[in-house]
Amino acid sequence: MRNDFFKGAKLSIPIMLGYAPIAVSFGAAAKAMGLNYPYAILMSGTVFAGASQFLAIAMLSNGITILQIIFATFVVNLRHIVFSFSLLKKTGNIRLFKRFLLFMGLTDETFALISLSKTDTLRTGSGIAGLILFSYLSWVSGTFVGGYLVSFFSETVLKSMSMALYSLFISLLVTALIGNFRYIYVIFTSIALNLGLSLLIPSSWSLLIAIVVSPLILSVFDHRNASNDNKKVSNK
Amino acid sequence: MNRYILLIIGMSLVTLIPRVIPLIFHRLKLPKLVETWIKGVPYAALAALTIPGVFKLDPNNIYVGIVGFAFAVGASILKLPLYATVFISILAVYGFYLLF
Repeated sequence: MRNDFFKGAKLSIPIMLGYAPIAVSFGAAAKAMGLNYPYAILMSGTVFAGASQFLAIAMLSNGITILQIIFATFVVNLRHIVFSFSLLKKTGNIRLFKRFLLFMGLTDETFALISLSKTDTLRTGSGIAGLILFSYLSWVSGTFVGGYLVSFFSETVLKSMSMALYSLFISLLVTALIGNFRYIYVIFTSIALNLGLSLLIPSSWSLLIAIVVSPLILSVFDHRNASNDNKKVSNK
Repeated sequence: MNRYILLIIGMSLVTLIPRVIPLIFHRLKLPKLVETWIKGVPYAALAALTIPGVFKLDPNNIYVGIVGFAFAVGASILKLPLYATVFISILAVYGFYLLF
């Protein structure tokens, strides 16, 4: 059990690397936009969702009302419903209360690893706990550092490190695709939908719609294959 | 109450609720169609989260994202482990900044 926890912590290294520079930038941006330091850390510690936190401080500095900011946060983070729902079966052997605690730490990145990583570590509660706890610590301590020491890090280093999260996604996607190529259709549908819709509606909505709608293409394929098989059987 | 505290409480609630509310369905037996859909969700999510975002890594220079993307895809196709892919693409982006 302890072993799984440490293995999970080790798996969080790419996430920690990616969160740190973004959290540092968040800490610095919050300070620059007039959100006091303790609030920035409190926000990182209780919200733990990067995009919406940046959105919130930008909206705050534009004088947008608190209710509107909360609503925007809700919309940006709605996709977590889909993530959480899709992990129900995969985490079925973990006790409900423990799952409740773990799911509080779901983010795009922790979801990505839990759902696509092939290791058994992330089938256990302790493994997921290690992954999430260390990702969380990187996020909160990064915010802490950002408020104080942002000038200490060069812009170039921070930008290069932010590549970590994208390469995490790319590596997981490509590796999973090599195992099962039929998901390529889902990937292309999702990218096309997201790009197309983002011309018409806010990107938080286009992202959500792409995530919900594109996997349906699999169900269509399966249905068609099933009915083809039926035809073959009946022809015989 | 302080308006920032109010904001943070509100934001954390609307973020927390979507994360845990699906647990209500933890005992539900899902139909096959839904299970097929679920298998596709991570692919759809990661694809839409990566593109176009990665190309905006540096909003002033699209090539930064392209270089990072190319190295990450290349390393993954060569079946390098996750860590190696992450480090290589970070170094590629950093190298690109140093060179250009």
